[in-house]
Amino acid sequence: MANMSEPPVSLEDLLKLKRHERPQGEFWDSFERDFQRRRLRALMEGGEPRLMSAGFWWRLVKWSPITAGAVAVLAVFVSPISLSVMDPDFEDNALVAGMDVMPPVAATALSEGGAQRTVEAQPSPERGTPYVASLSTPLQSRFIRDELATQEEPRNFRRVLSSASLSVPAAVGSRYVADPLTTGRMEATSVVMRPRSHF
Amino acid sequence: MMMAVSGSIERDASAELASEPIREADVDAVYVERVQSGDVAAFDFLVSKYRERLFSIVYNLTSNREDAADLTQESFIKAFRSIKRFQGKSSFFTWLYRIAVNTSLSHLKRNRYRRFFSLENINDEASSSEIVEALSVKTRTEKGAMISELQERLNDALQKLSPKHRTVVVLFEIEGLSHQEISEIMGCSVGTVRSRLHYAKQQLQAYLQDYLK
Repeated sequence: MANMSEPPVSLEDLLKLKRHERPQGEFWDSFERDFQRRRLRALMEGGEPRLMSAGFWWRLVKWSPITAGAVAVLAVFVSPISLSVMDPDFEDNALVAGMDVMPPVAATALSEGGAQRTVEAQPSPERGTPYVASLSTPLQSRFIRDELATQEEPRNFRRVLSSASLSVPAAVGSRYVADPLTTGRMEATSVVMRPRSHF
Repeated sequence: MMMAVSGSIERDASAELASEPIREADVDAVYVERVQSGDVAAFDFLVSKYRERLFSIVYNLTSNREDAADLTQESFIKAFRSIKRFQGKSSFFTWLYRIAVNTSLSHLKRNRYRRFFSLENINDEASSSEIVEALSVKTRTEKGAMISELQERLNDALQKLSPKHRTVVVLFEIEGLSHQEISEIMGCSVGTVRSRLHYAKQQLQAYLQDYLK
């Protein structure tokens, strides 16, 4: 096929062609959106509990398969792990996190001038978003839409965060993400949400 | 004109520019420290800097652009979650690449019986490259058709390699990393990297001999 006057093509040359298989610009826009969403979820979930770590399970299985099975069953029923879910009812770029809040409803702590008190749930006049709050972070001063949404049962709170809330300065790996927010309806100056345990 | 460019010559040239990666590593270290102290936004810089390189590695290992996007994001999330434990014993990029390679290898292992390929288009820059010109003349094929066929053959050839051999080829020949860097990423000796590379290239030579004659 080749004649002597043709320059040789090396394997390395061929493999270098793979460098030209690159996605276009719009791919990276979508990549960025998805990544921000996933990171927000990671932030809200915080660090993995030790109970659920792979190392723990491995040691447990080695130790006793029966005990491991029993603990696994317990974990499924007891652990409140499924905190973050995507909800198609909300806008595409929003992450919805929530789980049924155990009575008393408001496990959110509310601070006014440093004092903490418990927020009582306000019955919602209609299904939707009775509490809409604007949230700005002290460092970036970025404006973020933040909603507390109730369903039929006022006790079932969900929180909707726009992806911009990634600018909330939360310590990486921390279990809780503290989001100071202001809401006139609840006559509060700031509320600290604790996603994993109190959401 | 001699078209074949030796990989080792390039590597020698990059060794002369050794000060550049050091500066890069220093910049990374600053951002890593910021993320470790709670500045979430600093991680964006690291994502922007490495996302294309990381995607390229994962893409060339999986040959599936959707999986590659997903696994690249997963790798960044894993890095983000565990960055507090990163102590700087290796450079950040080595650590990040290791996460991406391990994530990809686990994915390939999990899905070894269920493989779908979806390839990116080769960009226009490649069409005008000397290699493509030469191959087009040699095979008497129109450039567009030749590129598509070559892309498929290259992909087939890479997929015939074991994941570990493929990883070495991707990191060395496509990403241009050194043997030492690859050994750190894959957690094996430099000798192992060399021997895997040697074996993998023998296999590829055989699969792609039509283009190399």
